[in-house]
Amino acid sequence: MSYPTPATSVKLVLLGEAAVGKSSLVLRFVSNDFQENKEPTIGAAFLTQKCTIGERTIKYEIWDTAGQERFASLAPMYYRNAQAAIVVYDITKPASFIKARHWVKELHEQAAKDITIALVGNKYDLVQDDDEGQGEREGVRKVSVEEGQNLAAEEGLLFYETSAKTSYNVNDVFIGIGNKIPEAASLASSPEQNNNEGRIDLSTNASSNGNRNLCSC
Amino acid sequence: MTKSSSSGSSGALSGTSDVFNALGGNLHNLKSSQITKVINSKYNGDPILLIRQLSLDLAKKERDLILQRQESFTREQKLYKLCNEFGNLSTLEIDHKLSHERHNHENINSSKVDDILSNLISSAINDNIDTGKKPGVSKTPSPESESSESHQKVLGVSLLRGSSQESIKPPTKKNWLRSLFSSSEDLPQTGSTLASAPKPNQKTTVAPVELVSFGRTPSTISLIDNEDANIDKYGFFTDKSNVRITRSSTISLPTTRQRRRSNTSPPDTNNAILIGNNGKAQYIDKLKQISKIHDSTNLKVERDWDNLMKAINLQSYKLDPSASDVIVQLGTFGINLIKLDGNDDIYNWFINLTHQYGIPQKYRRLLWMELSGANNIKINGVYQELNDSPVTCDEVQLNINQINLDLHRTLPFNYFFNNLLELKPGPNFYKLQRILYAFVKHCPEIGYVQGMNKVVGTLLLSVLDEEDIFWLLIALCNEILPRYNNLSFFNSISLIHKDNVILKQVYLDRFIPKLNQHLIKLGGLDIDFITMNWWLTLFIDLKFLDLDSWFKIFDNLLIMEVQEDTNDEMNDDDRSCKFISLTLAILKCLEPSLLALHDKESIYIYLSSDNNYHNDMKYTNVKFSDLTKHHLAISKKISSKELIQLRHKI
Repeated sequence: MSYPTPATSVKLVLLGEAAVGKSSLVLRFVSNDFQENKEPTIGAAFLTQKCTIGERTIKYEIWDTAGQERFASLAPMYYRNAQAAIVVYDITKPASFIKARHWVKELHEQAAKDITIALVGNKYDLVQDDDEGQGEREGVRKVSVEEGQNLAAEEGLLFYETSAKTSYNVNDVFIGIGNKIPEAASLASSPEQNNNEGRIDLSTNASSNGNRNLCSC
Repeated sequence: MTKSSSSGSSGALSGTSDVFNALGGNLHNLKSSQITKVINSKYNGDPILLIRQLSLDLAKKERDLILQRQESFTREQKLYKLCNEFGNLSTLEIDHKLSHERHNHENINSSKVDDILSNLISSAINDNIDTGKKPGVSKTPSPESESSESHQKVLGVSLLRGSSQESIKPPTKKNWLRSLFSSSEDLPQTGSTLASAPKPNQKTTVAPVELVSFGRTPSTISLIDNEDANIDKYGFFTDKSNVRITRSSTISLPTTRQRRRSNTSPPDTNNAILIGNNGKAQYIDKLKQISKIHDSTNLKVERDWDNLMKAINLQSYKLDPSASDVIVQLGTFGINLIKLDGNDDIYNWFINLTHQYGIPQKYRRLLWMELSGANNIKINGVYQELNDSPVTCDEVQLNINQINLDLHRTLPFNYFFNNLLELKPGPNFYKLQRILYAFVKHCPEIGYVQGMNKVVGTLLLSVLDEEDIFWLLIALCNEILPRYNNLSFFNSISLIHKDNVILKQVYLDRFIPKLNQHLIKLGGLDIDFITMNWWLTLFIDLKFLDLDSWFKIFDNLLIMEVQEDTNDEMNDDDRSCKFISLTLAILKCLEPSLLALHDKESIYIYLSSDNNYHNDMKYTNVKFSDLTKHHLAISKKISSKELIQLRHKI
């Protein structure tokens, strides 16, 4: 039995407009759970989750922020020193995509230079056809995959479309971030003993990688 | 179908005898020729009919099993409710006692926990009401109600009990409670305004004090007519699978000696709930004893409040005999009480009672409206006008858009906000909507801030009505909550955060040094972010505070701490100090639990408001009496002068 490698701590912050599903993404990632009508996050919530990617174990220290504009002034305190950020929008709400653009811009201007940013279009379940097919429901989607991909390409972001409700692509976001974060850049290994409790092994489905996993449109 | 053979084994599944009327049971013992004969004589020679009959029987048996399982679950829930409401026991304590009891009984190999439960429940219920029937022992119901009940349950509507069933249900505790809720305070306690409600027997009609004392009952409470829906008294679903969403639990009993008019010292509740293990009778006796203690203590507190209110009215009559209004103008924070009787006796009496016990239900509406200053700003008709007026400005529309995003997400596990039984919004959903809409129209300069929804939502579970809460919210922003540079509390998020940084960097070490050391040893925690969230929800979002205690904290937000050097009204900075000392008092109460946690994450999770993330942590409810004790001790040592200096430094 090999001794588990010490976990690398990665400070991650979630940003995005209100009610796009930031807390739901975290709840899915941390507890593999989903809740309808999740209460709004006030201020911010702190969560952690370990995940194993190949040889590495990453411990995400997640600050899940409030989406309401009023709380935006606090955001710098959460993304300061963050090594990763997830900027979330709702693929059925164009305004949330505009807000996501702003967040990406702000992060590039204010956050650490080498911050890894993932752009995530959430609520994929809403556009998905009921009968599990390849198609999409007409007219529900308001932000196309291309728009997301283009923004990601321009700004050098990871890009995913996810559904916290069905768990589609959620773990991939965190694996993608983990893969992109250079080992040296992450914080010193956490001194505490690793325990496997609460850790999810993502290595088995780590093969799927972001864009490839997207639906065909 | 005729009643023919009823197999012996099926008799155990009582109350559903018609299920076993037809063939079934012993068929496998018959010879083939006999079966053929049966088919010929009873089913016109068509074996398919027999098969159909058999499958039907099977399905019905399965249904019975489901019913049985559910019934035992319901009984367990009832015990929890009884212990909870009358025994002042938290769910955790009950769990603990049950496992203790179970352990004992396993040792002496006598009885199963289910028996204990059923005995406890039936004794508790039979003790209080002459039901003439024990739960779990079912009479043969009328066929119609039986079938409709089964239908509902088989459909999986486990929480819902149809009204058709009411007629055959034994009068239960809940029924009795409901009649109390809907009866006015002035009625004799035996009285019940519900014609259908059972008349409780004479001896046991003294209701728990907190129920009787609803001077003005929230109209919504009487809406719960699903007696078996697992809903607590505030409308939170208490379904076992969702225990983490329950809010009301123990009502913290005053443990300190009452200040006035009580000759006997209040009973020590900690001793009272130490339940012996010498059998069920004693167990039940203890439960009864606890509820008696609980009721008598509350009754005493209430009498004390009655006397205080009389004294206040008398004094104000002396000052101004012409005032026909019996209700004295208390002034914001009760400032008018200070010199009411020439000295500070009445004021101190009032402050002490509020500190120790909070304001009783029956005075809450009056006092909240007075102390907050809401009565001063309330203008009749304005609320209705605001409701009717259209949205004209973009700024207001933006606020309303945000409100719309949050309405469904406010208290989603509360019956009055989200009726999970019928999958539709509850009445409070619309009240919340109207209040928040009206608020952003009336105060566009403040607007809507997340957190308000939770505050207003929770206030809607109190005794105030919709319009009162609208004015109360405005009064909170203007008069009660800390303000920063003349901006409202809700417009000062960054400055609120700054105060919390000061709390972390300066006050934590001063008042709870051990905890501060512990946090530093773990690498330093940004608890300022967490405590800031406490502020923004006015301490509602704390999972270790039950709703009864929160209402008492709210009572205390509306009073002014005794200031030694000044009798001035509380200024903005004093209000911030009050929030700081309340926050520290909560942390002080949590200190032992937090010291036992040895990693950062656990502490964050323990303190965070979100309790949806699975973990095995045990949360201990903060006792209101402890909280007050710490709050009083700390608030004396925090001055606004120092706070202002610290704000400049940090």
